Amino acid sequence: MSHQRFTSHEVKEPHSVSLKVLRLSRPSLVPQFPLQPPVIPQSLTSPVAGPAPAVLLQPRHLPPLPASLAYSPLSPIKKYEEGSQGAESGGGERTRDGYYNTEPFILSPIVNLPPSFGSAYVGETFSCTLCANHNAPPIGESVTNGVKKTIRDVKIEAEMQTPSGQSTKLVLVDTAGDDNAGSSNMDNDNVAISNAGNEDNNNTTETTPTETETVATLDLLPSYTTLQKILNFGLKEEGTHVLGVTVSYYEATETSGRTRAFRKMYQFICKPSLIVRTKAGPLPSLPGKTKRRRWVLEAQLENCSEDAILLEKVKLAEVQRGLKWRDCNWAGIGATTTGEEGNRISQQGQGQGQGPPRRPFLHPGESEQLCFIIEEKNGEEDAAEVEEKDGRIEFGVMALAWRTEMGNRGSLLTLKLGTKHLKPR
Amino acid sequence: MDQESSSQHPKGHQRTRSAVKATRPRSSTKGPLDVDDTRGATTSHDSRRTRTPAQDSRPRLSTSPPIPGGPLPRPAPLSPSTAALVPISGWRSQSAHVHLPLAPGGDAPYGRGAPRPPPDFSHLLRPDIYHELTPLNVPPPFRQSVKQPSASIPIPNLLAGGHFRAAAVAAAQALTGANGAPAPDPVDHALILSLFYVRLACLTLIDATVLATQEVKALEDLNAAFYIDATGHNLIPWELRVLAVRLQAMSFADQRRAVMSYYDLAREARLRLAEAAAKHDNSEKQLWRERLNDLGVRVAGVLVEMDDLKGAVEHLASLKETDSSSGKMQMARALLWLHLGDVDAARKCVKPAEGSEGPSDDMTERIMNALCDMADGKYSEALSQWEELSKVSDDEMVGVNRGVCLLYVGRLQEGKNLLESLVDSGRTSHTLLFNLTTMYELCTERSRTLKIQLTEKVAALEPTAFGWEKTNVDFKL
Repeated sequence: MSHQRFTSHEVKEPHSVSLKVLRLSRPSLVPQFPLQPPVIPQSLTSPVAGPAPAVLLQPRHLPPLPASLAYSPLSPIKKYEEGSQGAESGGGERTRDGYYNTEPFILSPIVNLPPSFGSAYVGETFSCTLCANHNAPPIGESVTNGVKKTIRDVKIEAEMQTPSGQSTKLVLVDTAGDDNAGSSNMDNDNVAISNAGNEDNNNTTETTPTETETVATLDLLPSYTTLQKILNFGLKEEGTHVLGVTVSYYEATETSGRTRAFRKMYQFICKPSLIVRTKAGPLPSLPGKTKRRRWVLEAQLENCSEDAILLEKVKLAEVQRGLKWRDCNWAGIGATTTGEEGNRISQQGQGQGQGPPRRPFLHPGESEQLCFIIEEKNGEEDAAEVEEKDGRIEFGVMALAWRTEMGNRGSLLTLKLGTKHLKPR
Repeated sequence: MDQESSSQHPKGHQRTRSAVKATRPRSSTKGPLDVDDTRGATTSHDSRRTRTPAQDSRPRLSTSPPIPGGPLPRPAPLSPSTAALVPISGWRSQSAHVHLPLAPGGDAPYGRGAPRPPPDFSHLLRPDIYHELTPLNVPPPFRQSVKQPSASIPIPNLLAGGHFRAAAVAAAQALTGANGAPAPDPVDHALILSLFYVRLACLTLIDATVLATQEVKALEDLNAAFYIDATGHNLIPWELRVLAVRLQAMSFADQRRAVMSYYDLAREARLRLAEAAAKHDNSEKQLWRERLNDLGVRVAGVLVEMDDLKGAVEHLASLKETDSSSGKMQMARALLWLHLGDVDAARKCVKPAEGSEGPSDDMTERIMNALCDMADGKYSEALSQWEELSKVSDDEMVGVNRGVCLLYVGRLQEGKNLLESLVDSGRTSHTLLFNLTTMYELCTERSRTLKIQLTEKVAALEPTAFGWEKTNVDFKL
């Protein structure tokens, strides 16, 4: 967190409870650089009599130095003894082959906690853990004024102030994860679309969280213990966010007690990671009995973040009832389409048996060109009249979902996309 | 980084700073391998080295044609991306031309047919190559421990005891004759190069890789004819050649160079493999086959470091897997997909093919599934899988990943206790200590006290080959 400050308090005595936070981005795989053990000539080991463990005359490809790996396979002390005593138990076998390291590959399966805050991007879920700690004086040190303090009734509350000025009380839960991000990720967002309509689709059905969800309470916080809570917040706006956390507690001594509180603010910038540009135009109708109007919707996605992005899903959603659409992109080419959307044009005979299609992988600054074909249902069973507003036909919105390093998710929904109605033919 | 730069010998620091800027080997830099380098004339090198900027402007060396029929013919680069590096080959051949016959005081180039005296390695015995290692970045409980090895302990024992800083110091002392013992004979290449490898390897193990990238420059061109013996084999131990690839690429800030250099080594490995096959030498064949496999995986690693993840995926998919390594390769591929963000592809990598009895390692699949659940943000599911795995494996990875998961499901206290119990059982990987100290920072205002207690605990552990002495960075101090 780039910035934090304390608000003033009437009491100067340090708080018995402190707040610590850590942004819970995905844990990362630890890199390793395995080294071959040195082959040491005999002459080097001679000066002092003693065992010469690493002397080898015949070159062999040896297992790497254990210290050069991301982690040790087995407990060095305990396990070796066990292995030598009871080889029949299988413990001896496991010392070499039973450890699950990918050496000499650079990525190992052990993970690190996030080392820093990193960058926050629109469309991602911001997860953060809040830890309220009872900081009793170190054991053995004389307690201040000889008074032992009891901490009761600890409360944590958090709210996020977004660039639009809104302040949202955050639900405090026990688990990090995208599914816990309060309102769904696939809600409205603020991506600028070149030819999108002006109307904001602020039809989010915000369920106001209840008091019990937004305030984490604990009756008694013993010394050296922590009340840990996690918040998950779907980032939807670009700009400066301020996370405000209020901790209040009742500090009791043997003779008296008082309620104390403090507030900490954490500020961070949320940046856009994908720029979406769209363009719609008419397509000639297919020859046939019923003339159906057709359009092509093109989109260009540009990765404007600092990390590589793997596009996972691109589709049209909230499509007008009178229209159906076809995906001409990587997912539309494979056979993995599911019939979730009733208004989807069925795909036949395209590239079956080639395995799943490769998803586009965009390095920073790279773009991906997308295309959808939209067609009137005209003449089909569930056909409906295509609605036009002020000479505009609205197709629907584009839903994007992507992944970044270690599977971190992001998703966006564009504004309503459409085109000016042009007389067909 | 701070500790490292402060730990440098002032003189060495000045000398190397200009070289750090270079993005590739400079063709005309005068170095210890140059013709007029006389044996034992160690003091004159410094003044010569400081003149390098002026010499850089001289274009003569890079324009000379390479020697035809050298001991290691060098085909064209394998991929277009390495094309930009072609000048190196000119540089290398040229330096070979200069170094071939080594005689004191000579200025003129020597004929190719001249008899070769044994190569002189005094350029690796100069004290100014080696940086002083400060113990200041080592927490006091280690520095003051009775477990610190005495100066008389031979290097192999230091390595076996995980005393890598001491081993790095001892190797430099042995090379420069600083510990009372005489410096090695400049022609004893096996001893010198072995000590040099110990030095560099240990530097990378004690968080001083930056120093290693500077010290490796003393080797100059590892493929120079100077290092090739009469039979066409390189005198430099294989492990040092492999390590030098990474260190040189880092010092020139050019990872593509590493790809090319690994391919160079792979070409040689293939050549030796063919020779061994012709001789029907099975153990030799096995050796070179394993080295070849090792290089293949290392190339993928460089591509990951270059952030060319798609390239790494393609490369890893192209590698042949041996029966013994199949589970490992599956997991490597899966981890790469995970790193890239494609969790579905990662899961597919470890799924046993339908109907096949192949050597699908059940544990590999379970570990990857747990990691994939974490990548999907399903930390509770992942945690229960790690818990299941910890019943059948006491692998440190399983324990640490389980501890990390506990933090993500709001059970910091348990996670901390679990990681502490791993330390108690003798595990001290950088990852474990990093995660544990991060938890300390979260759970108290006085994390420093806890970290210092942790250093004391780790320092009290019995030294093993996994590495005993740690640095302040390991404890986030």
